[in-house]
Amino acid sequence: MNKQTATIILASITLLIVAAALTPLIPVRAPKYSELGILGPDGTAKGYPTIVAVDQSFLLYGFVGNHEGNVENYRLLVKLGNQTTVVNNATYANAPVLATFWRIVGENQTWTFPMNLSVNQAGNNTRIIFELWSYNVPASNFEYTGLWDHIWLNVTA
Amino acid sequence: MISTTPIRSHEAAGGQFATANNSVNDAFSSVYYAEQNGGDVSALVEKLNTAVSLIQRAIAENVTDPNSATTDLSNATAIAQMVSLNSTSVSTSGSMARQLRLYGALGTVAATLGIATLTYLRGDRAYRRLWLYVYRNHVVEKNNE
Repeated sequence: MNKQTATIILASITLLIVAAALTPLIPVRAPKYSELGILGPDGTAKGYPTIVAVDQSFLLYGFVGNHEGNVENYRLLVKLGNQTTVVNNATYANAPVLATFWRIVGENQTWTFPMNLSVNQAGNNTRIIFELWSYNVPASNFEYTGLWDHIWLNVTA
Repeated sequence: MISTTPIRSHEAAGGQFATANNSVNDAFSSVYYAEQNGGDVSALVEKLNTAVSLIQRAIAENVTDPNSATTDLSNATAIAQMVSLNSTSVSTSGSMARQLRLYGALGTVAATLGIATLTYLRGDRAYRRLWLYVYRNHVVEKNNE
C-alpha cells in the first residue's frame, strides 16, 4: 500500500468516526403536528349517532395524537352549534360548550377517551363541534390549535 | 369532563377550582421546560394527569358531594405543586446528561483527530518498529538454488 492510499483510508475512517460521534447532537427536523379524531360508539370511524332524544346520552370516542416534538397540555371542547355556526382552521366556534376533556399528552403519545354526551334542546341539524385547544406555555393560556371536527344530529323532543 | 355549570354556594368554591387549574397549568409549564432541557418527564406527566383526573372528578361530584370535591381539589393542587418541584431536578439532570453527551462526542472527535494526526505523522515509523518487533526472531534463510 503506498502512502497516498494509506492517507485516503486514514482520512475516510477519521471522517466516519467524527460523523458518527456528532450525529446524535444534530437535532432532527421532523414535521410537528397534532391529530384529532372523533370515533363512533364502538371506537371506529363508523356508527355515529344521527338521531337522539333530548337529554339522551350517546357515546363517542375522542382521539388525540401528539407529534409536536414536546409534551402537550390538551383540552377538547365539545360545543353545541347549528348550520350557521362558523368554525374553521383559523376561527373557533362561538357556541356554548357542552363538555371539556383535558389531558397532558407526552411526545408521540396518543389519547383515546370516551365521551358521554347529551343535548338539552331539540332541533334539526344540530351540530356537535369538537375543537382541540392546547396550552401555550409562554402566553400561559389555552389556544385553539385549528383542529376541529363535527357531527350532525337531529335532536327530537 | 369539565362542566361549565355555575357553582352554588354550598359546593366547592370557584376559587378552589381556579387554584387547582392554575397549579396544574403552572406545573405543566415546569414539565415543558424540563423536557426542553432534555429531562425525562414521563413520570411527571403521569402524576400531572392524576391531578387532572382529580379535578375532573371534583367537578362531577361537586353537586352531590362537595366535601369530596374540595378534598380532590386540594389533592390535585398538592400533586401539581409536587410535580413543579420535581421538575426542577428532572430539568437539571436532563441538562447534565445533555452536556455529558456533548462532551463525550467532542472528546471522541478530539481523540479521533489526534490519533489520525499521529498515525499520519508517525505511522510509518511505528509500523516499521512493530514489524521489527514481531519478526525479531525470524531467521532469513537463503534459498537453496
